[in-house]
Amino acid sequence: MALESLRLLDLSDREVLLVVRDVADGDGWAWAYDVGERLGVVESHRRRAAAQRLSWLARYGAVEREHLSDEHGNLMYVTRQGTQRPKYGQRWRLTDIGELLALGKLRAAESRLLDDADEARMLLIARHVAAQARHSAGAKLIEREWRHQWIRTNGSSAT
Amino acid sequence: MENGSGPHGGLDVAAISASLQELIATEQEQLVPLEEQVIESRERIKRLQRSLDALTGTARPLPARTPGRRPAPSQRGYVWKVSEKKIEQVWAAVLDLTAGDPDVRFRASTLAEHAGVSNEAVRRSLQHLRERERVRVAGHPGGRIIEYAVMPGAAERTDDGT
Repeated sequence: MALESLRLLDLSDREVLLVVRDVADGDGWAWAYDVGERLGVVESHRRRAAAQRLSWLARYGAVEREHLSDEHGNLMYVTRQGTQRPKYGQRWRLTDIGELLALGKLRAAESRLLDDADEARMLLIARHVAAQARHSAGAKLIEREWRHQWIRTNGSSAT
Repeated sequence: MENGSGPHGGLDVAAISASLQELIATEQEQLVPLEEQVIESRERIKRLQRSLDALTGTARPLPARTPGRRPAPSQRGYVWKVSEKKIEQVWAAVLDLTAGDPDVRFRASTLAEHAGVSNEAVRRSLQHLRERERVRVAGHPGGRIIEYAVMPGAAERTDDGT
């Protein structure tokens, strides 16, 4: 069934980011419409649904939106409610954090440590990660990653 | 209407339209997490209501069976779970089909044929493999058939046993 939106419940942030990479051009820029099309969003909602999801990922620092420039290469701005803001296009690109989220992996030793941890140690690790994440630029992404994994595995009532 | 001249007397209609479109887009963006929360909240309410109904004995009776139509397994009171062995069999077939290349996309039906496993078992196994971040949804052409791909790094993770 064709989708009308791209919910976290249906697609993880990582899956969305990897699709952005899949449809991107050589410079890493991807059109929101192409992302929506690849993910089976109905045509009337394609650009909007993808842009909505990508806007959130941009707020969390995983993607950036193209800042349009004029024919001389000067960045363009629009004035809204007395404030000057960048004039954005419809293309998006992964940031360094986004690349890490999409492609990064734990080192073998880190994986082994977590695989071998018993329940009590896992609790301490979760506490440590939560405390560390509070000060991290990608804190929201960490929360979303946890939420997505938890909902998928345990159902939404567990959160 | 070019450059905003015309019936609006010198107003820069194009700029104002662009600005309004930006405002609309911002409002729409803000709706997404709220909609997600509403959906999740409704699901939680349904589940809690079902628990309450079961507890108080006020559960609604199941709809009468239509003669000749067999209810789905989930309505017959059990949910078939795919075995761990089957999931690993499907994962092995994924690696065989794609050679572990994360750029190769495949469909569940192709995989079922390749693995010699039923479509339903493959579909359920793929759900588990998504949860374990071994495969991902890489496309949904036309909103009908789901295309999958190996998660980057997942094939190596299996190879070195970590």
